[in-house]
Amino acid sequence: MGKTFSEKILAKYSGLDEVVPGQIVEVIPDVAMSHDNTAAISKTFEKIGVDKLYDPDIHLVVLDHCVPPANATFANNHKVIREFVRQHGIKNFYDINNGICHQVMAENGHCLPGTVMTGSDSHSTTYGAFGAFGTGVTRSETAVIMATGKIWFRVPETMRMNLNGELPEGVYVKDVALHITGTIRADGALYRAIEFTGPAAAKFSVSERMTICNLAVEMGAKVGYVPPNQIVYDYLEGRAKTDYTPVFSDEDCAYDEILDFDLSTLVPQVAAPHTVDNVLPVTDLAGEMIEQVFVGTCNNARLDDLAILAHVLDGKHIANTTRLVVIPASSRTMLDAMNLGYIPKLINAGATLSTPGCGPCMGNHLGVPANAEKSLATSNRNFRGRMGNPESEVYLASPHTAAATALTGKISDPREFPVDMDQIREELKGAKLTPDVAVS
Amino acid sequence: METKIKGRVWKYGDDVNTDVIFPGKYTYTVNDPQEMGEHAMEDLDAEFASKVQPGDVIIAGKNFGCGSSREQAAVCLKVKGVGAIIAPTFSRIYFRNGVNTGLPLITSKDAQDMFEHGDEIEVDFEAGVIRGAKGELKFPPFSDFVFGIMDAGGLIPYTRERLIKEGKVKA
Repeated sequence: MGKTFSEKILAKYSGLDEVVPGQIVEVIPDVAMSHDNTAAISKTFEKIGVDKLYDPDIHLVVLDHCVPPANATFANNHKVIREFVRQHGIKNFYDINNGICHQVMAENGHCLPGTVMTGSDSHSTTYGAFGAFGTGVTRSETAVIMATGKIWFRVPETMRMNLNGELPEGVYVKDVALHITGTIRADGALYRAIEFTGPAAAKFSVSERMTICNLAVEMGAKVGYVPPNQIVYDYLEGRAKTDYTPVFSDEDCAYDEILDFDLSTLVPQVAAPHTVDNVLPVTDLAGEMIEQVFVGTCNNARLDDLAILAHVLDGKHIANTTRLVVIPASSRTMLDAMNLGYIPKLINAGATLSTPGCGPCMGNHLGVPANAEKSLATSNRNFRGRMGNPESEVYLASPHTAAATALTGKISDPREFPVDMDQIREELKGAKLTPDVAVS
Repeated sequence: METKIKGRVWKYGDDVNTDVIFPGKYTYTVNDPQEMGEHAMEDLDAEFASKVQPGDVIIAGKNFGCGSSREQAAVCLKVKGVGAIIAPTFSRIYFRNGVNTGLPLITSKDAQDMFEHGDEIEVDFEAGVIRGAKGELKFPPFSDFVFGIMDAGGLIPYTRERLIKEGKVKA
């Protein structure tokens, strides 16, 4: 009997011949990421009583959750982190000028096939885009990795999702991910790993792989994974921090469940308040007034996303009843978007540009909505109060739907505002720093 | 770890997420555990933090604690003295947070039907039994590994004990 990706990688890292779902194993991860929560983690680490980190090179710290700091509390938090990083010799430190952790890690070649990566951030499932076993852990657990190098995992069962067919115009991987979440619900993949396979998944760009693996946690999953192929290896060329050996599921492995999705019949999707699995076709919600559109976050603020937004808004202006907040996923993304002329188009169309980072995604700053306002965001969560105000509502959608909505001031079908994807693909080849080329 | 707790039931629905248990806007500004407790369940039930008593039990629907990995969503309930949370399923990171902070999470599909908001409840961890006016429910005991962490008071004291035994940290 063959083994799944998760079973193979956890057996390898725990030094066992084989493991089975449900078994608890201890492993030493290749990368343990933490962000602005590193200040709190450092206090917990100090309580354990060890003087030195087990291995400072495992740790990677990115400041992104409130950058630049909105007030003295956030600023002091950052200061504690800088001192901790210096004291313990953590070389992989990315200060406030870089962008969102998951994006910065990808761009800098830290996300590698066949590795085990943890993050003190639930969206650490994103690393499966590169064929890594990536999962979110807690603050205390990262403190324990600092002290001992080790983390416990329950070996997950695996769900396979076969993605077939070509995406119609105006429909994106974000719509696929929302559709799956709406279908299997927020606990559909609870405790399990998801492998996104099939001919459509094999063609996903790096950016698209990151979007769907990022949302795997909203399906309840421990891990999201797209089998790596040449698209990933090309991205990693000249970027990968170390050599890597991809790990794949065996042909005859035992999946817990296999689902098939036909992408060719899909229409644009929107997650309505207040859960990510409350998903409807955009046509069911069209006409709903939206006061703020937010294009940002680790889910959908990469170069291909900004390209689509700029193409829809080019030469036009957003509705005067709506604000459009745009926060590129990273500084490199922002630079590429400037060089390709997207940023001027967005500003001329009335967008409010902000510093790369998480922004208002979890309500820290840079675009907290007012009472009774409705927001439409390209982010990954729409829980009540998520963007900082429990008296507001958040809808989730693709960047193309966001662009259409910003233009009209109400939820709009992106297919009414077509873009030339061939031209966008050509333009994206000019990206020097973030080649997240949209392929499908 | 206490072997038996007794209190009243706070009942909620499915998919209670970490943003309503502990709002994201406080995650970097509130660091004192007691103060975290004052915001517990703030965006779901404004009365909870002021009225919950030590030993009270939360009974909720499926996928309790879905959303962010924030540990405060477990800590804020632990410091308020919540004795246990009972639900058909828990989000995986919340389950880890529960174990790691020593907040007992009990998986039971039937508790929702047996208890109403405000009912008296008793949980016997040793016997693996939930007791109420309408009867008793059995639940599977925690695995040795999980019990070891919870019995030590959570992952941090557990790790300390382990490192002391290995001679890497002074007692």
